[in-house]
Amino acid sequence: MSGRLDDVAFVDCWFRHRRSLLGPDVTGVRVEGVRRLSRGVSRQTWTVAAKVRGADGEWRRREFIVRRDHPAGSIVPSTLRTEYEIYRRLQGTAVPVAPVLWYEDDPDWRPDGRSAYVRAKVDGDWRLPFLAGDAPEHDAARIAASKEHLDKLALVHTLDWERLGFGELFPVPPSPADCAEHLIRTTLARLAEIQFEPAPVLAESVALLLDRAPRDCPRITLCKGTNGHGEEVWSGGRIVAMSDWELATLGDPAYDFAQIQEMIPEIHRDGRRIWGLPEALAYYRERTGIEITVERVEYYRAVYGVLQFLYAHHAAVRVRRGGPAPLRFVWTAAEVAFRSQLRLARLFGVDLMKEAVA
Amino acid sequence: MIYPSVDDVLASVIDAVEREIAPSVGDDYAASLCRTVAQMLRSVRVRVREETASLAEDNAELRALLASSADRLPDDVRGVVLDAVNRAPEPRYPALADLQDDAVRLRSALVSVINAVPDAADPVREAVRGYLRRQLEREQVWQQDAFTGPRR
Repeated sequence: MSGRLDDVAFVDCWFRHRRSLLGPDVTGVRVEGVRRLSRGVSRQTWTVAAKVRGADGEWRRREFIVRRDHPAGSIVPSTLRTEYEIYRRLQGTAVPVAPVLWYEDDPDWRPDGRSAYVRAKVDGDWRLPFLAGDAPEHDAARIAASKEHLDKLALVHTLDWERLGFGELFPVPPSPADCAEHLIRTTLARLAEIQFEPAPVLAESVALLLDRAPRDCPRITLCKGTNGHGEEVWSGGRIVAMSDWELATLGDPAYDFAQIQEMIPEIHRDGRRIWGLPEALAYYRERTGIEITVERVEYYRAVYGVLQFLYAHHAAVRVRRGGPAPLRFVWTAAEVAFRSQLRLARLFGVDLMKEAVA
Repeated sequence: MIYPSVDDVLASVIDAVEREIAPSVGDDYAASLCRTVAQMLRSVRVRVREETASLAEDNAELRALLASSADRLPDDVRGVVLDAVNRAPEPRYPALADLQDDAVRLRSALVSVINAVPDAADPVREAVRGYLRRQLEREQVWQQDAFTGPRR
């Protein structure tokens, strides 16, 4: 049977067909609604509202998440299967992630003929309103949330990634000292497979980045990539699920600090900084024993421009293929690609960036 | 960045309006405006592509017509006609597609230069960085400054 993801009747049949994968105690399922979420750009995210019957015969409401590529593919160059495999490998570890249920690649059941995977929806909220502004009465909450986020990053960075099989998903740097150069070279190799337009700003910046590549990374860790406010699910002051692993890799944990969104607020009171990046790094070091310097974080902030250029160019490849491309792909290929160059140009003293966030 | 081109962008905007936005619009007037937006953008898309060449061809034809008929006109009209005929603008820029192809060749050569001069302090590399600054400043007008609010 085949059908569309926006067709509740089809999704109901699909979930009934996969009922055994919804949980060991699930004896029945009825899908009541399907809705596409608007926030995601790189891939599509849908929610499925259902009632599930447990072993006790009671029907309870549950929600599920379906992730899949756009009809035109994904903006990021990593595959949907890799994203699923990251979740699968993290099941049962200390890192909080949504339970992943199955990867649908049976041609008879793939919605709209596209592969998808299904995970449980974790209750919570990605918004932390108190992060905005600089009100002193929110200092304690902001610092507590920052520490909670650092605690969870510490869990990611201290995972035994080899035992969990992450070395099969991502290229492994030859040594901790080689992490920076390895990340740049593997990103460039991926770019070389698809690049159709020369990028002198990238070439100049990469030359500078390779010259300045730090070699004091103490250990190779699993890195999440994009992280922080908007990327994790919070409930009761705790992160209950870490989401968005599209830029995950193996490398220097400073890579993750360079991509933290809003979760290390700079707080100054009475002429003294009471929280900021140095304090956060010290807090993190106490928990992990891993030394990360401000200099390495700044270095990886610049390196992010290379990653951003790669995924923006990946979107541009789809645009160039012909036929009307999805608008978000076009936007990524245009403005985001340009912003990646502005980020990189800072390396040679050109600072034209006028906005913090696109 | 040369790509995506204006044509790529407009094609995608039209597609989004017609296939993704319009079907979800409940208000009749707003739905009608969606149709107007898409059709106007179709016109803009073709106009951006065709107008320069079309107007150049048109002006050339009209200039020839006016010039050939000038001898048969009264003096006062002939003066006006010849003034218009003789004020042809200097051809300034090649066609955009030719400029884009040229830019791709030149920028590819520049990447080779950067890779061939490993010393970042070399005057060639310094000159390259000066050029890159100016290139980004020229492009930021539409790639950054034109955006004014939330994108999504």
